[in-house]
Amino acid sequence: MSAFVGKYAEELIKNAKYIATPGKGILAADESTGTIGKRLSSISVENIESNRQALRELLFTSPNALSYLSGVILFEETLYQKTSDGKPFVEVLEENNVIPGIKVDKGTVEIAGTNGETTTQGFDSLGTRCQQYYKAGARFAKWRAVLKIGPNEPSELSIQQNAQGLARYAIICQENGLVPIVEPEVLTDGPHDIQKCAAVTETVLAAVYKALNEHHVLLEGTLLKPNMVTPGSDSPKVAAEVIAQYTVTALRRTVPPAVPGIVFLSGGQSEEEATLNLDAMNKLEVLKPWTLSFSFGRALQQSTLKTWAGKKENVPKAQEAFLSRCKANSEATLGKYGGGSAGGLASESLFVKGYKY
Amino acid sequence: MSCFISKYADELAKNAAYIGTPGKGILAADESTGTIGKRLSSINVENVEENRRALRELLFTAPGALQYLSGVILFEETLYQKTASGKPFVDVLKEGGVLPGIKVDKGTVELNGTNGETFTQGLDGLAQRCQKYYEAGARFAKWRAVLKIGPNEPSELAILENANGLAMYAAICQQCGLVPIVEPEILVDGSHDIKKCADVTERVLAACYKSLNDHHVMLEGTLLKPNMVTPGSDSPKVAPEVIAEYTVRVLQRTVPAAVPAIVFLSGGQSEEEATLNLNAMNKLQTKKPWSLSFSFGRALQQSTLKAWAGKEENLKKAQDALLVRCKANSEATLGTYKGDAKLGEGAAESLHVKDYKY
Repeated sequence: MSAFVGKYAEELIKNAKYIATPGKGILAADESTGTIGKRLSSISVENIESNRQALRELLFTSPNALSYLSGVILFEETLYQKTSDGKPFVEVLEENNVIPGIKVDKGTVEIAGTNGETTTQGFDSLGTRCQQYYKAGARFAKWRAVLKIGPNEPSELSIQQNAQGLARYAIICQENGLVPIVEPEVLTDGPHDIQKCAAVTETVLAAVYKALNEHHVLLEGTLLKPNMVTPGSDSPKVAAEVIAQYTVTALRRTVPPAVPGIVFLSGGQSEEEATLNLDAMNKLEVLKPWTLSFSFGRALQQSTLKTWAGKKENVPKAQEAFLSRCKANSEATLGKYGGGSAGGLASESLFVKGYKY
Repeated sequence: MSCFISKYADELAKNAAYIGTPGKGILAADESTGTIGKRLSSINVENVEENRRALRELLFTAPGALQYLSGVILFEETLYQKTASGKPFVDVLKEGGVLPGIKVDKGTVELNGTNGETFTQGLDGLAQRCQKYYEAGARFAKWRAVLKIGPNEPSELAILENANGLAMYAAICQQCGLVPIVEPEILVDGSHDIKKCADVTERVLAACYKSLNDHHVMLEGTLLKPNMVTPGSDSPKVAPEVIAEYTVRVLQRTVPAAVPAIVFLSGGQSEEEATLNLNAMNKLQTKKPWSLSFSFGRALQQSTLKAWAGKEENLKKAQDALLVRCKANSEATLGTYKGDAKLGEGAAESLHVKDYKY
């Protein structure tokens, strides 16, 4: 095959397929220490390890929520943390049939000579780190590449760099037993229309799949985490059905059927928007050879965070809010979301200009 | 969109989807004058226009055959020919629910510095020619790129040049209302195994779809005509189920779902082999978002040619032979072929010619 079929091939295929189970999706709880600090400060909670641990324990022990999840992406610190009664988080997830995943990139740096375009770091000792994460129980990984839309962006250099980076990361993961989630995020920032976003997304995805082929990545053992195709943040919004149409068209034109599942990022969308858009895609009557699901961070945690506000007595209510979003998104993956699980918080936009993870 | 939306967009998508109708496929009757000459000489028939016309009339008026076809690829000369009673072939096809197609490439030339690798000519004035062909009734086109497997082949140069050529041709066709069939044929010649063929086919197809994206081609208005994935001609044969598994897997890894149909070339396979392989693919229980059909030349015409032998009195026999193959392949697109087609003379005969020049 053109694809590298190593000793983990069957396991990779099995795990990727499981993560793509209809009715389930991914909780992206892999905010780096710096980023989670911003979330905590927004609810006036101190950014110390015990608070970070408490937040993730809140999420992972939410009664019944895990049944709607097939995977959770963790930050390295969290991979080794435990519940307050001493049970490793990884075990909590595994016992509930949720596959632990790990963020393995080390953030973005600017590409000199471009207008603020970036490439993603994290290759040093990546293979060794993956082996360690595998030993700790991780079975999938995530690496976020970032592109932006501008008058001359994304540049060919940025597209090539990010596509090659994703491909190299992906093959290293597969050599070490981790299903790579391939995430080429095209930021929503800008006044462009949805057609522009579609054109850029198609070009970027085509480059990504060419690079994956060159690097002998086994597509059946990968997942894609793309942006939805939407108008820019400074442009008028459009209906969920329109977003669904453009997004699914872009994916049908670029993502080979061998990929088992596509798990969308939520970008700056509100919890409710993200769910409605995902639902509209799954309602679309057109042939989709991969499942369409979620890998949401902010769009799953926003109202939970606000409800918790760092207070122990708020935990049960916060967990209910979390369960509510998990269930809503699970229904959306089946095209069965009826709307209405939106509190005021769920409709709040989570867009932050020039968002740094 | 990343793709250029030509004024013919809806028509292109509609015609491409129609060609992919389950139960139907394409008759590739676009042999150039030189090539058809070889076929005719194999049955001792003189290569003059009247004989070329008579052969094609035999094919296009075979009773019951057209219902199994969604398209026929023609050579330029044939596009303007008529039946003996004066009806344009194009009208015969249209009335039979068959879209006329046209070969638009001008053959291959060697790439300097390579070991006999080639690229395909035909881009000069292509838009004008396509417009003319559209006026004459053509609704799809075909362009054959050729690659070979060897110790150092296909080279990166050959892959890039051929992918680029296909993409440029495809973009021009779409601007002129013709659905481009994208044909990156990897020759079966060689002693390599099926894994090598799969590896090469994946690389080549990935390069093609990257190029098509670069050139803003609307995939919904295209078709793919690839080789099946098989062992090399000098290697032991394998079962149709194995060919099916390798072929479909390669396609799943490279061909986006937006492409409505994949119409295989038969290469040097015998009529029966080609049908059995296509059938096995359609029986396979796996993700196939495009329909899998045929665009056969030799593998549809071989026994017909032999039965005809250039003699008018053999007309019915010859047309019956064509009908048998059309029906068999139609069933193969549905995965219902039982292998029971009455084998005409030569139906099981390999049609492989080493280093085949079209």
